[in-house]
Amino acid sequence: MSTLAQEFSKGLLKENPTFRLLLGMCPTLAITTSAFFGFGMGVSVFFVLLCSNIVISVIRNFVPDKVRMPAYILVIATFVTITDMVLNAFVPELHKALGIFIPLIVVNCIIMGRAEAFARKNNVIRSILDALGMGVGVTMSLTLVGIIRELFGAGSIFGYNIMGTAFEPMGVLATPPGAFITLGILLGLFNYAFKRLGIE
Amino acid sequence: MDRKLVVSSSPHIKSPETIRSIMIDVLVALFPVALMAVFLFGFRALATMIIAMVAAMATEAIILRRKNLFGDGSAAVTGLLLAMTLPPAPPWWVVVIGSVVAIGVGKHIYGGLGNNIFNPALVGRAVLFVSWSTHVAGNVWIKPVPFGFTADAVTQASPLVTYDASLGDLFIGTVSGALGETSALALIIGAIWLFYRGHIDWRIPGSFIGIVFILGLFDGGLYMGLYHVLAGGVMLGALFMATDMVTSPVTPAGKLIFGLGCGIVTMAIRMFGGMPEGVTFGILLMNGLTPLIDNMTLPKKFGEVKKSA
Amino acid sequence: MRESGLRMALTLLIIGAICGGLLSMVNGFTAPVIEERAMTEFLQALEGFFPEVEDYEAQEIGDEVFYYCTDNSGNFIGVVGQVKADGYGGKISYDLAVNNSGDIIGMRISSHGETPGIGDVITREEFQSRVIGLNYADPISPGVDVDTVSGATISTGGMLSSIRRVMDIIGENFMTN
Repeated sequence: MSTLAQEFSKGLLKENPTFRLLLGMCPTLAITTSAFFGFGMGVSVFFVLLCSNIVISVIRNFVPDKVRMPAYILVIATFVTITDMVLNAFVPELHKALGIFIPLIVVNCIIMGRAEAFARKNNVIRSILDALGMGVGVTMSLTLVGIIRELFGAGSIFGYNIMGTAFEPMGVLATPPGAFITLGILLGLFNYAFKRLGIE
Repeated sequence: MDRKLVVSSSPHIKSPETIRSIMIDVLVALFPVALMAVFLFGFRALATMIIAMVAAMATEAIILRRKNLFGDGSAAVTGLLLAMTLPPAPPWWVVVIGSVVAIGVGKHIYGGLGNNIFNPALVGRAVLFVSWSTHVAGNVWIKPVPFGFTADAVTQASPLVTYDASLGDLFIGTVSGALGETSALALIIGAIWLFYRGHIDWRIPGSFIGIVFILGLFDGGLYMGLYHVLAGGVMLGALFMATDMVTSPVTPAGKLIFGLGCGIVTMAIRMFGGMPEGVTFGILLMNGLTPLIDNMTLPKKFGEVKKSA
Repeated sequence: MRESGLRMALTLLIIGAICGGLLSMVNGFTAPVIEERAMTEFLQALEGFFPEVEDYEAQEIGDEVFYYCTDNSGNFIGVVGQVKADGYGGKISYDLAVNNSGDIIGMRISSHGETPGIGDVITREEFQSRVIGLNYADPISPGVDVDTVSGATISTGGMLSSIRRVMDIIGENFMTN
């Protein structure tokens, strides 16, 4: 049995959902045109993941195995809808930008994956730590992709101009092919780094 | 390396052909094209070509941790081909980024020479085109001034926008355009060398240029047919880009299909698309289909019985 | 633990009920905020369509609301409809502004669930410019005087048939006087 600290830290690097487990690729590619959007998506996923992990871990002993999937979907969909409504009310710009991808968090593989693979089998404390680690991992990853694409694709980070006025943005990074190229290069770098550091 | 290749005892027949010798042949073939570019666009064209080649070779040398800058010569070819697709005098950093992307993303990410799916030079050009279209397309086409090596640059629209150049000018190359694409004459001279050395096959350029001509006929008779073949990047693309050994099919039927596909996509973009030129994306698209085409056109083995469907 | 059908159904029912309750609680809290913001945005858009607007009067026709706009001397200057179209991903809510001679002068998509990169072409200039300038006497029929966008036929076609319907309502109710 791994220690509590490990439950948290594994999501950051070793089992990073985006770069190691390759889960939730659709929002990773689609909405990370800027650091803010990547961060917003990451936080939304984080919130849903944390809530659903807690609830699923709590109800894991009461829900019959045969209906666990519909039960999980109910729980996850509830939190996603709450996120959707809260964002719409208080962060409208982000809500507009993320658009259809917020409701689609319901089918985000990270959340179903953690529910099925972890929260279902572990107690609440461990599930919370798992969700915290995975959530921070997702948020960091999406923000990182967003930062890179925004920095080179628009010359700014979180909307602040970094590159100066003489910089001519590399438009391809703001387009979907740019998302694939960025993610591909990052995956390669992470694999290389992990190999070098001797992590798996 | 796996030692799966079983080698019989000597003597062996050794082909004198190496990657390096092929690449040098390509460079020789590109020489008349480069010469024509300098003749038409002046020393700024030479500078663009040198920057592109040096940047490409340096990128490759760094990635492979190689001391020898020239190496097998493939990076030099990629750099020069990239320069050929660029306007005569883009900002130097655009050329450098194009070369770095061509070699880094277009070639070495896939595992280096022989493993790349897409033509590296065209990957570089596509990225430049999408990112900085103001520098590599649009109002950047310098009016050619033969022998005016240091003449002032005057820009004019591409003949693919105006459709008013004469066929003679298009053939000789005294029209505006990318460095290596204006002169059909120089490209044909270069290609003859490659044909002579056996490095390219007639099928890809033949079907590519043929279909462009035929579709051009529908766009306005014989004149437009020839215009579509001679203007823009069709000659350069068909003779030097689409024939790249790594990224085009190996079977004879596959080569014909590949050339047809390149030509059809090119003409579809020219006639119906939002961009004036479509050679880059035509070839890149067909590059992606190359493994499928190869699979589809595998020759039947002798004695093989057709599987029932 | 015996897993009877009744027990499964009960479990799901309980979870469903709790989730539903939670959602309606949050909705009760956020809905007014969202509505208020939507109204401010709409009023901004309305002033964008008719800069000289002084007063407006809301009129409910069917389940849609039309704003009858007048300038400072009380003259009728146009109508803005807060209307809905059937899209590919559910209802598309949009505002359609029509001036006093029956020409479409502006439109604004306020919410939609169309596919990003395909159906959301309706929010962009290239589609909207095809619609702006049309009169309620025009056919506004796909392929006749307005083209749909290929690949987004359902989204754009749905918009067009909805605009036709809205223009009929406007023509009937506002253009007589």
